[in-house]
Amino acid sequence: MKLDVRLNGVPRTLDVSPGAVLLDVLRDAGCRSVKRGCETGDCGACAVLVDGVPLASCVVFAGQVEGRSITTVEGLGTPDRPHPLMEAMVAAGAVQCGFCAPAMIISAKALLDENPDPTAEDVKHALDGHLCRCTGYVKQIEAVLDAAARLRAAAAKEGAR
Amino acid sequence: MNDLEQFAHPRSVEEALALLAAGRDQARPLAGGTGLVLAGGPRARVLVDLSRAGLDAISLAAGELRLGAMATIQATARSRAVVDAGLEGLAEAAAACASRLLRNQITVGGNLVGLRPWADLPPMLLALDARVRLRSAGGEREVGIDEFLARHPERQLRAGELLVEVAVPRAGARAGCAFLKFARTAVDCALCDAAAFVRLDGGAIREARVAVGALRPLPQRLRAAEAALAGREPGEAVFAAAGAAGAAEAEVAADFRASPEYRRELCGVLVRRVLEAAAGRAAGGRPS
Repeated sequence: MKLDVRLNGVPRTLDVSPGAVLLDVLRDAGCRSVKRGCETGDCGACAVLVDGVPLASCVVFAGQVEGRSITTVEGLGTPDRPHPLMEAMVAAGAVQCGFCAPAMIISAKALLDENPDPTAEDVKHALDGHLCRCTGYVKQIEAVLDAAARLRAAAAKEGAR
Repeated sequence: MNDLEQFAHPRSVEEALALLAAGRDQARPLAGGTGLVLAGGPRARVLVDLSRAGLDAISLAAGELRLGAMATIQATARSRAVVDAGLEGLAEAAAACASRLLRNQITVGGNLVGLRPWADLPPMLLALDARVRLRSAGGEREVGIDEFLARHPERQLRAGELLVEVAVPRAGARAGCAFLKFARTAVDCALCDAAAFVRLDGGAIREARVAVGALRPLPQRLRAAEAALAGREPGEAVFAAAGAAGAAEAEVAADFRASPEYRRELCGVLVRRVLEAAAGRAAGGRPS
């Protein structure tokens, strides 16, 4: 069946099997930042934004996102032009093997879109569905708070112009 | 087993009901989808996705809070209307469900109809004496939550019938509710859930409902615990007695997560604590 979505800002018509799971469809469409971890909604490595809301794409039928906007980390930044969340994750040492990082950035993006000045507690709640087996969880929280500060500073600069 | 051919995205309940009626046993409703994806897909040709059918509102009416069947658990956890209805325990139960990613997807209706033993919302809805509203092409009916959860809810729905709304009575004067979950981590399945509603009259407990979840496939009211509270003055000894009565009467099944003895012990402790919390809120002097 045909699936019409906006993927990282680009309108796409994807050919998918009716029972396909969103995770597989996104990886087949070239979004390799979307990781296949547990496939039961428990590890968070497959998180993507659907109309701005982070979901575990391994427990979503592709058919459910017909007409929706999907954002993966590929849509947030590139190695040449990284998003402040990406820069902050690197600066804080919040990435080791990197498997969990894209999805954590996705959930953090949703948090900062809604709340530009979160507390550490807010960050913990926003990332509660993401497992990291390398670094522990402290550095990601520092990274999100740092990214929030960078984004606020950028917005203030923009506002002053 | 996967016969799925297409998705339908109705824009209203009426349209959804018509699609279900036309599809007969080859069409089935889809809420958040987590349960159905994990089950490997439906045994149906058409999935009727309810996410755009206007069933996601959370609103306050005169005597009740109305949760649309497609309201997400996350929306319920953060709803101002839930708190305004004096139902902090309901917000606590919603916030206790799974992780943010799953709370964004799981719906109030899906949590009930696709009931899992550890589901956190159903025991709270039992303690709050909620009612579920079911609609089919033929009309609407209302079922008390006790009856709805007496068997697996999926078997309570008739062919072509949809759960459209859950109505929860406002707490009202001198009443409070609370919810506690015990699990190995904050995002793990509950080993025991406890939910309580308490209404005071003068110095005594006039009305109390206690329910627990995750102890057996269906959540359960603890009537002996409730009987131990009726007419008594709230206090440590009374809550401990209710906890002990609840632990003694609860039906507890075994599974790989915890032994029945351990779960029964948890049940007694959580019932005592959740009653303290609910009674504390009831005594807090919320304006009527």
